[in-house]
Amino acid sequence: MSSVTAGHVPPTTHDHDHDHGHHGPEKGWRRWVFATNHKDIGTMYLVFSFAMLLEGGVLALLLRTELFAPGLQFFRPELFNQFTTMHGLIMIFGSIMPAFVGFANWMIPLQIGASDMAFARMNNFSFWLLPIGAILFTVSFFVPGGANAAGWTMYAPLSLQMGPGMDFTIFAVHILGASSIMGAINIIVTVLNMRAPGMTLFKMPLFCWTWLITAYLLLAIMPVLAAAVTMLLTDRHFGTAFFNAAAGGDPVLYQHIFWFFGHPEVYVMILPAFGIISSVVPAFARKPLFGYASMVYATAAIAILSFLVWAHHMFATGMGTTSQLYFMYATMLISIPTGVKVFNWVATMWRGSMTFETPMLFAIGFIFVFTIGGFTGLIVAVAPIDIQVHDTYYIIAHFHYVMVAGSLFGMYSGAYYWLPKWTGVMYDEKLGKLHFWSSMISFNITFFPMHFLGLAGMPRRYADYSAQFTDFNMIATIGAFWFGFSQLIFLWLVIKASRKIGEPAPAQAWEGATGLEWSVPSPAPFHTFETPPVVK
Amino acid sequence: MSPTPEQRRKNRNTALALLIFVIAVMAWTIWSIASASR
Repeated sequence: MSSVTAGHVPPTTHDHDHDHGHHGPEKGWRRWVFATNHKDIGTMYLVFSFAMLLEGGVLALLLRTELFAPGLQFFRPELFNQFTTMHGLIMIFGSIMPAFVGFANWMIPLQIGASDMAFARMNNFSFWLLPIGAILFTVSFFVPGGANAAGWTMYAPLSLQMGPGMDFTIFAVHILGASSIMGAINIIVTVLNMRAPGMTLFKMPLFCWTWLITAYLLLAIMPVLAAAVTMLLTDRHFGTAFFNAAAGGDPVLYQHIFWFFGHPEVYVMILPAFGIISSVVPAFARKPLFGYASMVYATAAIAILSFLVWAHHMFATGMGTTSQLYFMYATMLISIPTGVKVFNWVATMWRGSMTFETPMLFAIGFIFVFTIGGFTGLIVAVAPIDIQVHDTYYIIAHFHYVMVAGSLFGMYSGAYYWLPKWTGVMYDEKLGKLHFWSSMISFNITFFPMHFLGLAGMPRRYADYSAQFTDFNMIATIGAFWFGFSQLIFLWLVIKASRKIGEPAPAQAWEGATGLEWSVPSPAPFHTFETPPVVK
Repeated sequence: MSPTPEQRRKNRNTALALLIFVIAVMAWTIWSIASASR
């Protein structure tokens, strides 16, 4: 194994601006509809996922509006449950997953010295499936009976009893799953087959490694979800009885199969963020990443363990003590490779010449707040505690600390880090810092009180609650609106940068940044690495 | 630079292997659930 890590990829002697002799981008709408360039498709993924973040965010604010005070203020409970369900589905399948594929599209070819993704047309098709899925999700609110209200987990038997909105969800999940599988195949083939000469696997930046492992995870779990929802569909319309207890099926089987998908899915949404943080922290600590190889092995260990712990989501269904103990201890094991990662990030910062630009603020914020989510994960891994807090706001708090403070803050860190490379200008640093602090404070105001609500017994997925929970709910709602509006700062900042308002960015936008992507001009030309660079 | 024919063949073969894996996982899931709920 080479001791030369991605953080030390030496600059090549290669001239990277190879636009001459090649056509540039198409003009107008054709550029986007028929896009095959990885940068254009990456941009489309990122724009789409941010739009879906806003749609899912609006649903979240509607939920928080209803929950500001006890009693039913604005929405019928049925509609409230549609909002909770679609908020989860849209955020997971419409926002977080596509956003990371957007990062992969933009950055993986640039980081490994490839001219594009392996399958450019399939890349285009993968993207254009997304709006179809999003439309199905959105219009399902307007079909008889409304949207799916069975929760994002779509548990039987409730999902077997829903109206046609459930079928819209099933088809949307099929379509978005197909998009994810194609994206994952594209990423694996690109990373395995299209690396520049000399770019061995162990010289790749961590972001490529985490995405390679994530793509394998996706290939293993998306077919499981596709099969599960297909069986739901046949139970609903074609007389089968996989999960229909009334006809001899087993609803708990659905939960097993769903969580065999669902737990690794959590890592699909967090491993690429680990890769981003592993790029950002060394750049702003001006030190190579501590323990590069151990980071790779820890990522692989997390991925493998994620397949062995699914039933910790099901302690409350009733299971034997031996099974409970197995799933409890297996879940706790995940904290070891995760701890390795957190240790390595902190060790990278140790005695570094640190500066605190926005990408680094989000990276440190990520480490701090994600670790809180990790600790609460350890707490709910303990079966007797989990049975107490199952389906309470403690769980909501836990996974939002992982998904928002983890995935979303990781993405913001990456977006600020690579924005100069994408747009060619330095973003507005003051606005970026305002975005960070506003998000960080409001996020904690929103979700920290939910730990107390959950421990006090407030159940999730109800439009109403007992008066004793009022104060913390009011605080959470105020925090949620603050957090929601804070994201508009990012939108404004990106609009400014995309309109080239700001200082021109040099090829190497950050003093401590290393890697091939910083050897091409900013913004990255339409075609890069037409002749593969030689990595020494 | 467009991929060479050799590169295309290698990419296609890798993708086909992955696709077969995906189909196998889906078939295994349905088969195992059908067996368990019989």
